[in-house]
Amino acid sequence: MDKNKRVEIATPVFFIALSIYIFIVALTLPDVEGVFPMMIAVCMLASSVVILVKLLRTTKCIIDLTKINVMNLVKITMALIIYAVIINRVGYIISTVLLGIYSTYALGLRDLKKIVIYPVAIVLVLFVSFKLLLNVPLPMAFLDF
Amino acid sequence: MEQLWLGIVEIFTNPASLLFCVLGTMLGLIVGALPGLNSTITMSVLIPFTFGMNPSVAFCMLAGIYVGATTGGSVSAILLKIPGTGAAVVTAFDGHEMFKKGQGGLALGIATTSSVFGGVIAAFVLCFAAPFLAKQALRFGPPEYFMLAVMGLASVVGMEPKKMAKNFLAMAIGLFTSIIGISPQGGVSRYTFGLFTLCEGVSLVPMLIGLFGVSSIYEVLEEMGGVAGLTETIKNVKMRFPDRKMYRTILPIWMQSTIIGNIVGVIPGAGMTIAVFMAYDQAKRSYPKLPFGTGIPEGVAAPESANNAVTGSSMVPLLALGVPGNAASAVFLGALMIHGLRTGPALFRDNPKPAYALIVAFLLCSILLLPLMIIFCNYMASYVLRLRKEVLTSLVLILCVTGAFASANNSADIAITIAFGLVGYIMLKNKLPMGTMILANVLGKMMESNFLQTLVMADGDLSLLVTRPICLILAALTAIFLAMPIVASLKKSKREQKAA
Repeated sequence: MDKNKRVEIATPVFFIALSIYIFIVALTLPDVEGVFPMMIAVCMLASSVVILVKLLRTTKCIIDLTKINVMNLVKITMALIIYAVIINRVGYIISTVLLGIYSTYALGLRDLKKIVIYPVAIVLVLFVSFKLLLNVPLPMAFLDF
Repeated sequence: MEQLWLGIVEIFTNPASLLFCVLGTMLGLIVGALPGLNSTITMSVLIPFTFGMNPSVAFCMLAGIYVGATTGGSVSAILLKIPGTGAAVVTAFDGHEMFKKGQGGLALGIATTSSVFGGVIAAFVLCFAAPFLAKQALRFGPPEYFMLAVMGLASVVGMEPKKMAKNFLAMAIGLFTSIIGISPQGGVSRYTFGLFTLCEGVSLVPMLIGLFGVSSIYEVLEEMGGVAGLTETIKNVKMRFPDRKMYRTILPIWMQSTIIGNIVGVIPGAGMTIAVFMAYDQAKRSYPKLPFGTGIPEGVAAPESANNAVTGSSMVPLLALGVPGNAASAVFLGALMIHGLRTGPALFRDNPKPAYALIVAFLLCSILLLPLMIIFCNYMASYVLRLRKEVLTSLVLILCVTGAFASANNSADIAITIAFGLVGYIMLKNKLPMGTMILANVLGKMMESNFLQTLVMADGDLSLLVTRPICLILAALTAIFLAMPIVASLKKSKREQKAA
């Protein structure tokens, strides 16, 4: 079985495992709390099994890993996680500008001026709109005024 | 009618409402024309932006984006054969052929007038059907609401017979996300995986932003060798309107397609794409001698009037019953929640101003499409379609994280957005429909609470779900929605076997 097929099969297998987990946890819930989760688990299990059987019966594959830049996806996910961690410590403006600069670079823009100017401009517009015009609180850290 | 007057006064006496109708519609046209962005992504990302706004003003902007994006998709469909939105897929068939024949301006004119026609009729349907249905909803008890949700899910699951298993799985995923958190009945913590953040459940707005916004960014980033920019130079095409003779020819197509769009829009769970294909197919059946697909005005008029007919009518089940008509109207649910408004009969009774303002906003934005499309097509389209994809995607990412944080001023919502961005991306790769998942998530809480109340009412005897008159009708519709595609598929394979 080639790598693409294995990756494709992983999704229904994951949902089969998830449905079993949902069902087991539902059994431990008191009174009628577990009824609806059990119904969902059965639905998830049945549909995942049907999809898995269909996938195993065909050689065609809808996923093609050779056309996916997995590293790029991993990097942007890590950048977003770091952003979620630092936003309250460093403040909205600095963290979002850094995220914007990184994402613009990751997307392929190589003009250094544009990589910096576009995110700074976008963040400043959003900052003015949210914080000053709409009074939506944004974390400022040491840039608070 | 008095209540409708409230909505008219609310909008026309507030300059901010009028301004945001115009801005929202223009933004919708821009976003709709750009492949990769659509009304659902834009509305999801901009909902937190509406926080500090008056609810009526917020609805004006969101209605404008929804209506504008639905029409904007036709611009890139006609000029580039790249539909800006799913609703413009069918427009590309004849629209681009007309452009190749040198009739691009006429195609844009037909798309615009068709959209205005469909949108205005849908706004009137919304105006009269939503309050009427809301009054009938007072007869709905827990069993009826449960069966309504089941029917809504059945309609979307059964729409495509070849994808029923995937629709069922997406529905199950959506229902699962709805039960995460403290159960409203017993106060029991369910499926929180020990995380305090999940005790309140999965918030709708960050989830929408992740599923639609962040996943679209992942789709752009996955391209090997960097992002391919749009390199085609588009000549400025001036819009041209059809003459009287052509209007007489396409008017029956408008009527037919608008009716189809309104019916499909009102059915909870049915989508715009289904409406445009049905309208196009019906037009082909009604006019079998016309060469559809070769670049004829009727081929543009049918899908464009149908898709804009869905915009207003999809709000009918949402406002009246709290059941979204499609993914875009599910986003409106998020906006209503943020402004503390409950859908259903209570909306029209307790908050008539914003409710009727929303209805009038749809009507106004549909009318505004005409002048704004002229401005957009004649002066802006060729520049917008040349926007660098790197900058646009970066803008969307920044809007996503800002919106996710601002929705509840909680950095944990950014984590939810990232998680659902990944979920959305995996669903896209596996061709699992996200619209079904969102609909199931929105309906899930309502389904469970009404199901449990039904159990209590009926002392555990669930035959109540098929013996009460409204429940029986809804159960029959559910069976039809699930059985019809299977029967049609069996008939088709029998015919193919006979032919072979």
